Amino acid sequence: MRHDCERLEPALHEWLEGWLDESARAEVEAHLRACPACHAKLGAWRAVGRALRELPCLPAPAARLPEPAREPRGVLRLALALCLPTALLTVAFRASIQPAAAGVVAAARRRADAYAPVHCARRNAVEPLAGGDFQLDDLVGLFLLGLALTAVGLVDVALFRGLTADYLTLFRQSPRSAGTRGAIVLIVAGVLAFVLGAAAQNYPEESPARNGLLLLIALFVLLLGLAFLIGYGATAWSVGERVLQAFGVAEPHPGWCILTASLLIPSVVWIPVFGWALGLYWLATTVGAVVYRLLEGGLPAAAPEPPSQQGN
Amino acid sequence: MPDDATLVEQCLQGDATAFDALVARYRDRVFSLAFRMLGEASAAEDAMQEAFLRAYTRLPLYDPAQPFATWLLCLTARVCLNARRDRATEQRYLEQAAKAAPPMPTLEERLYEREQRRTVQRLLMRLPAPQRAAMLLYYYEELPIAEVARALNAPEGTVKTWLYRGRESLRRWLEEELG
Repeated sequence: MRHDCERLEPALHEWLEGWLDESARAEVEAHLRACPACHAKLGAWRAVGRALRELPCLPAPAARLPEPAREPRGVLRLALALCLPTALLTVAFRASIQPAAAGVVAAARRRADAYAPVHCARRNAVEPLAGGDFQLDDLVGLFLLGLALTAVGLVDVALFRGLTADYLTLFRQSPRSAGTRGAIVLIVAGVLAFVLGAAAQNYPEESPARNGLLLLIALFVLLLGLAFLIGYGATAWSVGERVLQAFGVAEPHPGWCILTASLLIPSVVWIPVFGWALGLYWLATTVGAVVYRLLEGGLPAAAPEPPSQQGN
Repeated sequence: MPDDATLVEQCLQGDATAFDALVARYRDRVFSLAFRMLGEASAAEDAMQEAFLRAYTRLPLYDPAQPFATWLLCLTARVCLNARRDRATEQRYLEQAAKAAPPMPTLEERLYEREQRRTVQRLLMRLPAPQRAAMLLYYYEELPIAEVARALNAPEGTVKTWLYRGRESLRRWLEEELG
């Protein structure tokens, strides 16, 4: 009987709350009829629940404490959030980015030369993905990516915890809205990049107009990349927290969350198709979150000071 | 008296007094929840301040399909959990308390201290923070389990386990205390 009591104790609590299904309920009720000890425990649990419900509502004090110190807000905070991770990532990746960028530029040049027939463009677009032009060693790249993402996440959480928490809230409260807006922005960006690329073909090679248009496309891509970085801190925090909580850590420190996520995320993003789709989803939700915030949520700096709580 | 949805709508249209009305309506509940979670009046007051500040700046993100009280109390619970995590903030509370310590406790403080001495509140503070938050949101604020899970960013199953463990711990401690 005692063994049964221990086994059924969690179910007994669920029975009390009415969360059990029919069959489990019958088992608990049969046990309750035969076990006075569990019956007594049920009564004690009811008393605990009642004691909590009957805790009095306390009057809030009229006096007001000085407002808590705030982080830098608005445009400045956004600019810092964009620049710092980018600088870090650039330093960490310098050795890898240069050959990779050279490969991309070479592929882009060939694509520009072979522009017009669609199959040529497709062939050239696939080539760098297959590794033809990239000099990036996979394992070193993975290690550097993990290292850089950890650093980005840690700096993000250490300096901009409030901003990161804002994005985290936005992801949780309206991921669909953020995703939809992000997808729209990405499609518009894609079309615009295509139009700019097509326009660039009308100018002779090395002409200032053509170089200007190509630079505009590069800036465009860079902005999307930066938007992706903003969301990384929030995403890594969220992913790491969930993983650590699944392993029984009730209140994991954001630093550990970032570290855990940074071990997992590069491994996932590296997987062909699925990882790329996940990366694209992040990009869409992050860009969408920025757009949502700018257009609908308003920048924090634009929000007026909250009304006084005094005298209520 | 306009309902919450109307006040939120007015506030979103730029009427700052509408938010004052919401603050007046919920300040005691927000303060009580924060006090139950943090166990200290000055920390609870700070958390209340922070919760209303966040509620105001994030009002455009509020989904009217959800009751305003639920949204606000979930937000308060998250503020309290973060306040506990933030060691620097705790240090600030201590420094502020040291600076602002009056020679004699006021009537309000004496009332809070008496309240704090109550057994249930004292035992509540012995529970781990997520368990305490789950217990308070579910039993004290009577929020549905799905809302509690969302507020604490945990699966419903985990919240149910926290509730069971929290309730069992309180039962055991109460029986030890009261013989």
